[in-house]
Amino acid sequence: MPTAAALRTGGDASPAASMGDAVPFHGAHQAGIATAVQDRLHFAAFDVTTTDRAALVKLLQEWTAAAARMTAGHEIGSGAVGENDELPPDDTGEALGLKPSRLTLTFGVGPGLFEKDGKDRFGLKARRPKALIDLPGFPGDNLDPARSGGDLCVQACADDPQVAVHAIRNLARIGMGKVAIRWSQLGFGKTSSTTPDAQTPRNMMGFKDGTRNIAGTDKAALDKHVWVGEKDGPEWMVGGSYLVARRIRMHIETWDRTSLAEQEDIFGRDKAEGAPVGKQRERDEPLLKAMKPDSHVRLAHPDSNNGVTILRRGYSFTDGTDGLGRLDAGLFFIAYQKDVRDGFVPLQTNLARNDALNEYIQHVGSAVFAVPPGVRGAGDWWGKALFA
Amino acid sequence: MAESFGDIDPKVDVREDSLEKDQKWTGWHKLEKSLWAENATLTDDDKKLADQLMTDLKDWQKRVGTAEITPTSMANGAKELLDEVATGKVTGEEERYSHTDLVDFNGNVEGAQKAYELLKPVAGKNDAALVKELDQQFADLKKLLDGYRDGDGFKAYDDSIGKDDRKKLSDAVNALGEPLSKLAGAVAK
Repeated sequence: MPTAAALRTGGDASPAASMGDAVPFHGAHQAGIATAVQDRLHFAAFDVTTTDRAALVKLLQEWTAAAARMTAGHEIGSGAVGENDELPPDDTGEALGLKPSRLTLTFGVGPGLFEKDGKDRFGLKARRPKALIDLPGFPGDNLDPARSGGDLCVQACADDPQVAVHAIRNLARIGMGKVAIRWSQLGFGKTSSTTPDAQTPRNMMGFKDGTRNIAGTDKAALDKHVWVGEKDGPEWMVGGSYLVARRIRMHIETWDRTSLAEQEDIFGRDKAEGAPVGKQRERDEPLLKAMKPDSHVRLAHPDSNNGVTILRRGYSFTDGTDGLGRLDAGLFFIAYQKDVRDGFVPLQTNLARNDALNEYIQHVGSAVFAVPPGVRGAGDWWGKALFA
Repeated sequence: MAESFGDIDPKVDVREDSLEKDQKWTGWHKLEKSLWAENATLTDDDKKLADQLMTDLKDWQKRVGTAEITPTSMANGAKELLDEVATGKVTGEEERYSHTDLVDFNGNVEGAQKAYELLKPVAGKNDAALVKELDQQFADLKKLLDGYRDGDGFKAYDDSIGKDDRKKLSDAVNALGEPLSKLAGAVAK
């Protein structure tokens, strides 16, 4: 059992990295997974619109080069004020003068890249990992196709929202004619903890969220639950992970009318401190049997799910109001795991059937992606081993 | 290009929600509202507006012949024709009464392509890859538009053309608009 201190960090081995710094782009794993969680998110899912494999490969090379530049805090291409004033600038410019802000860009490929409408689009069908399943339906799902799926994804996380938005905007622009944004989501508040010293963030329901999460410093847990190993395969995914994204709308107004006692029963923790039922402090080991059988923390705990553990990296979102005067708000849930079939699927099956929280939430968007290992150096690019 | 003839554009192409205080609504959008959104007839006042519209357009036609056009302004004109499609036509807001947006859409694409074809020999020398890309994207967009042809014209751009279709059109406009924005640079080299 990892120590409580290790459990409560979602960050990497260098939590001291200050907010303006750059996070290294190259490495064995992509940044943005075990990396200390930044404050802001812009997540984009793309449809591949070209049918030309060579054009897609060229785009991924261009994207990788641009991502390496932007994560280092540099302008892309010939910059935001290029040498030819008859041309629109390569870089859109809104990140000029801003710090790298710990920007990470994490790239993934969805089921549709391998096969769509029965077609093996790019000769990749045989390379689709078994773990990259089409997610099954879960009780209570109300998924909007326009907020679900995608052939490719890029998760942009940064401490400055403008840096994250700039990154997605510029990648989308480079991609025009080859890919088109299918949907994207802004997130404004991280919902998993970062450093042991930091206060655990609260979700939109007012509760501390992510008290127990896989630590970015906990190599053993990451190897066990998050990174695809050599014996897992396929080879092009070794060192990668699988990402599940769910847009979870919260019924904010009805939640706000719920008594404190019921709110605390539903979560299985108290609201002020975040202590598990019957315990004093947030980090105290939960006693599951003391919680109600349908409480969220009890149902989500590894001990209630044969040890299933996922790395959560979600963000709160509020997209204004919904036309009925209700806040369009909730959790943009992001989870990383070694295998979706042993991670999100059994966990969500249990939650969707039993969680008392379901009265106040609804899953309205869903996507799954295979996230390849890290880009190793200058000659490498996102998905190179897949297209080899 | 119509914007280059400053005083004519607001007389012929102003929309109801763009009218300034005390500005009289003239031009084809007023007539369209009468024909499609109101009584399906033109009032006497409308008929006067129709005559005025013809006069203004004839005036505009005369002025077009005298406009000074450079290769760069022509390339930028092509880009702007696509911009108009991207912002006002693919949304259906411009022809909210007549729903003839796809006719305008096609007109703008054809206009942009005409300008491009004239500049292509020069652009091709300076940037062969750009010309190849533009040929491809013009062909793709026109093929997509052809799917909406109806007789001599186009289908009405109304609720029968759903969100998925509109997004495909929008994506295709962006796919062409992005390389088209580099045409002026290629002819100015």
